[in-house]
Amino acid sequence: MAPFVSSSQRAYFHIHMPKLAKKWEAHTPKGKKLPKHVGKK
Amino acid sequence: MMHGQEFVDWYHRKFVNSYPKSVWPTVYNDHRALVHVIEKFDVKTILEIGTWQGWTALLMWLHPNVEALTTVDIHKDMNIPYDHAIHHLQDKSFYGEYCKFTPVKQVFQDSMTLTEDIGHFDMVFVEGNHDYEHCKHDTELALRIADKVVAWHDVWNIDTVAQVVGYVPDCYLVAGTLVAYKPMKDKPRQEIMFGDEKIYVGIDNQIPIVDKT
Repeated sequence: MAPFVSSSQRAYFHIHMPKLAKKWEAHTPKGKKLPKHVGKK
Repeated sequence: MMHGQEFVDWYHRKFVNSYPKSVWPTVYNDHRALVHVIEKFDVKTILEIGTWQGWTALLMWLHPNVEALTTVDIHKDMNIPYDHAIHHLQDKSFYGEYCKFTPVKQVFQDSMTLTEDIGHFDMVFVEGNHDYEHCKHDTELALRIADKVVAWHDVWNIDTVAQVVGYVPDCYLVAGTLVAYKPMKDKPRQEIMFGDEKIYVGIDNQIPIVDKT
């Protein structure tokens, strides 16, 4: 399980995969300011 | 960084393609028009009046140029009579559902009670209650607090909105869409007639905002 890396990823998960999003939320530090997008590596 | 059509395509591919069947999406071209407005006027802060599900708020907030977005709508628990709202006819469980996991600031308030205290924004997007009085109020407010551009939705398919936007000079309708916008650069003092009611917008605050003739 991984933490969210961007706000757009968080929105995507909550819309399309809400159960998984809930699990990922548990691994994302509360109040962590995420970037809007993460560029391609 | 994605912009323009590439950004709208990405958004639709990622977020909108599995749109719930029972709802009426703001169509692709309208999203494209809004993104065009955001880019043309280098919009960084937005006030959206009328959140409904939050799809458009999400679209606009995800745009790389946009730094902050505030969206205003009533909430079902507020028990406000809501006669002409499209989402009155729809599933009432949607109240910014799709933008609530983003830093979009949601304000639950009747737009009729909004004042200039809410602050200034680069862009105000008017899509609240579509009845004449709400639309007129929201438009008057938008013309006072928008620094770069005001945009409207449903500008020709809903009579009351068409009537209000029809009173605002120097508006541009984006062809093939329900979106219109008015550039607010330099905010020249302007007199606008809403039917027989005269309002002033612009930088001269000494002039009364509403002057019933």
